[in-house]
Amino acid sequence: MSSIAFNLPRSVTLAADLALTGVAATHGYVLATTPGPPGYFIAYCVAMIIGCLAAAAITWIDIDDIVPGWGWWAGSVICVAFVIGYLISRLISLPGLPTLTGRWDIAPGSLALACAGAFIALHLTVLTGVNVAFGQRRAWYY
Amino acid sequence: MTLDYPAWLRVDHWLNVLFLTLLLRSGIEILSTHPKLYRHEDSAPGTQWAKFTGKVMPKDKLYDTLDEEEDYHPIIALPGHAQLGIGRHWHFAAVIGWILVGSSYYILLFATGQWHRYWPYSWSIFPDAWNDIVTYLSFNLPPLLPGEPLDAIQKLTYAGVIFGLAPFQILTGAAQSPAIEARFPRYVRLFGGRQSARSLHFLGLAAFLVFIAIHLSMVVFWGWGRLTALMIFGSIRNTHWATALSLLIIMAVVTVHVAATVWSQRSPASVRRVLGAVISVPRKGLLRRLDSRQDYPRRALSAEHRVNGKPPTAENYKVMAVHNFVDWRLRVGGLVEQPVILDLAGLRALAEPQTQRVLHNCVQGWTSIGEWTGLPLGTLVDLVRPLPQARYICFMSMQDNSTDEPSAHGGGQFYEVLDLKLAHKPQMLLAYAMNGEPLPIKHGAPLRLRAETQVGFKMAKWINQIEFVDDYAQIGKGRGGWREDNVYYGMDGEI
Amino acid sequence: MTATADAQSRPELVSLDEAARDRVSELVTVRGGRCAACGGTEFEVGQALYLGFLFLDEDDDAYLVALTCREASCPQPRTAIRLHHKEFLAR
Repeated sequence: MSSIAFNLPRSVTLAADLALTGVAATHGYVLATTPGPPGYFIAYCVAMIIGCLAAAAITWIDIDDIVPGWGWWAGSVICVAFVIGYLISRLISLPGLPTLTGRWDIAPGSLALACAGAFIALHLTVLTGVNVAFGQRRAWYY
Repeated sequence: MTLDYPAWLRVDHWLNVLFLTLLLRSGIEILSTHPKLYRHEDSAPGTQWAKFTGKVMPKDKLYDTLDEEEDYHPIIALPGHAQLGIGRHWHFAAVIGWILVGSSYYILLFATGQWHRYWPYSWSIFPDAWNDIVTYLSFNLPPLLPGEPLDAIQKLTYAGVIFGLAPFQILTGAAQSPAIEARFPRYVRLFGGRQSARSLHFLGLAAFLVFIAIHLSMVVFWGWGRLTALMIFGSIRNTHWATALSLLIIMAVVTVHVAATVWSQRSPASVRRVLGAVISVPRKGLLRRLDSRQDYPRRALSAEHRVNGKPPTAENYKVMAVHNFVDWRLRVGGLVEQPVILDLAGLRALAEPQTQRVLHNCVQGWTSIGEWTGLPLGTLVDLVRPLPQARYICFMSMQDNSTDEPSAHGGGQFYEVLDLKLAHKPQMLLAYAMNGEPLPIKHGAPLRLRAETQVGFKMAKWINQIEFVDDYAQIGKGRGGWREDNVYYGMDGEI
Repeated sequence: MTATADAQSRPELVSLDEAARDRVSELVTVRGGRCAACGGTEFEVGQALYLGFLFLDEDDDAYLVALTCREASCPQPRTAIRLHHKEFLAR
């Protein structure tokens, strides 16, 4: 029985989706503003954008309490992969991306990191019972 | 206009640290007594949007909100360990200090022209603030605004906290005073109702915690020594001394907190006396003047009106109850010309029943809306004709906390004392019916007090005796009520 | 909505049917119930109050049934008997 618990399924899911949208938007912004991006980077960004938006959309499917959960898991997989990849690419320079990799002072990168971290944190609160996501219900009678 | 750090600004800053932290800790104590937050004024069980307790309540036995009270550690709550009475004294005393500091700050800001350190000169502050955020995100420090001590995003944030968040907390706090709610129900509706105001007040607490975390981080990133030099000396010099002094000041604030906690634990009666004297000035001077004029519509009545305190387990109470209280007698006496003993029918016959639909405010923070019907208290007072020396009315309950309420912080017969001057206020009622039916057992059958400008603990239930006295020092432990005696509540309940 | 509610409509009291009242009377007799005020043994059975929910010191199935001493001169006729649900209500 969690000592701290909230009953805000829509707010929590909305916040999580905003975080995913933030990850998608920062990737879109970087893709649009980087001159001559290498092919793999374009593919990566498009995949991230589609993946994040799809995951966010799935969290709102109002069928039961299982389907939206797939959206959360998809989002977490994407965000964890992004965090790991982003941190590694701070230490090593990737081919064709001299301004975006091998350094820390990239504002959209930090923003995406924060958004991904926020999403993962929110998912953890749902998994531990502190929060409920859209589709789940609290059975509180007191 | 040079935006710098005059002495009054620096003094107010550190005083603010003291009062704000006292408010935060005592606020958490107040939250702990009913650690659930609601959207709707019914505070209906199960409808909370947040809870900060793991306690489980029974389904097959009556439970009350005393059972739901939590015990928080003194690290986060002042004084900690479910001492609501003392927590409230610290909170209200600190609010008075904070408002005085804040008022001096506002007045001096505007009188000296320093208000522009927070209030933007032009709309360009917004794009500047956005650029600042982008700069911070790239782990760099943005430039200060030209000729100013802050960058754009800092300036906007401080403006938001000083001119927005701080007054917001005071306004949402005031919206939780029964006296203010009773006299100005529309004011409370501005915030979406009493529970919404309480939830917003909690969000304000969270916002202050977030602000403090970011503020301290900023001071670290920009240079602790330089910034504390500004806030202690007024200019950037002797930064090592500034660091040392800042730590001393912080230790002094911590010491005040520790002292307050220890004092509260060792001598709660003196805390109540000293802080209560300060609080009673605005409480009696301003809030006591307010009269209740509540008239909620019938559709607003709570389906399940929450309850506090459990009914008397004495055998004779149960036997009276099963006979619908035919054998119950109300003894009214003391310093009166004409003492009386009334049964329920006799009490009802004294006057046309008065009905009121009102918001009940428990001291713990929950509310419910109920309809109460009964005898105006003033009518009973006029019947018995108090002697000139009578100053207080003591309501005695059939509830015995030694046997009836395991979650009570003490034992003995429940009683509450009310100032006689309040007796003729509007909506002061001796209620014998609720929501159109005889007063239920769990709500105080056969008779309870309704004092709508007061917090709920004053409204004694299961009454069987009313005594007019000139002084309450000889009753119970002499503090004017059972909760006052055992949990050190203040005797006045307007907030 | 009437403000003065009458004796029959107290929300917690349960009215008993004739069969239940007879069972209560039987139990009073069997247990040798006597009026504490006058010693009488004849009682009128009234309503019942479910104790189990409201009172922590009672069993979950405890009821209190109103008894009124039939002795005309009794100084304190109103008393009660404590019974369990199945003793007089279940059938």
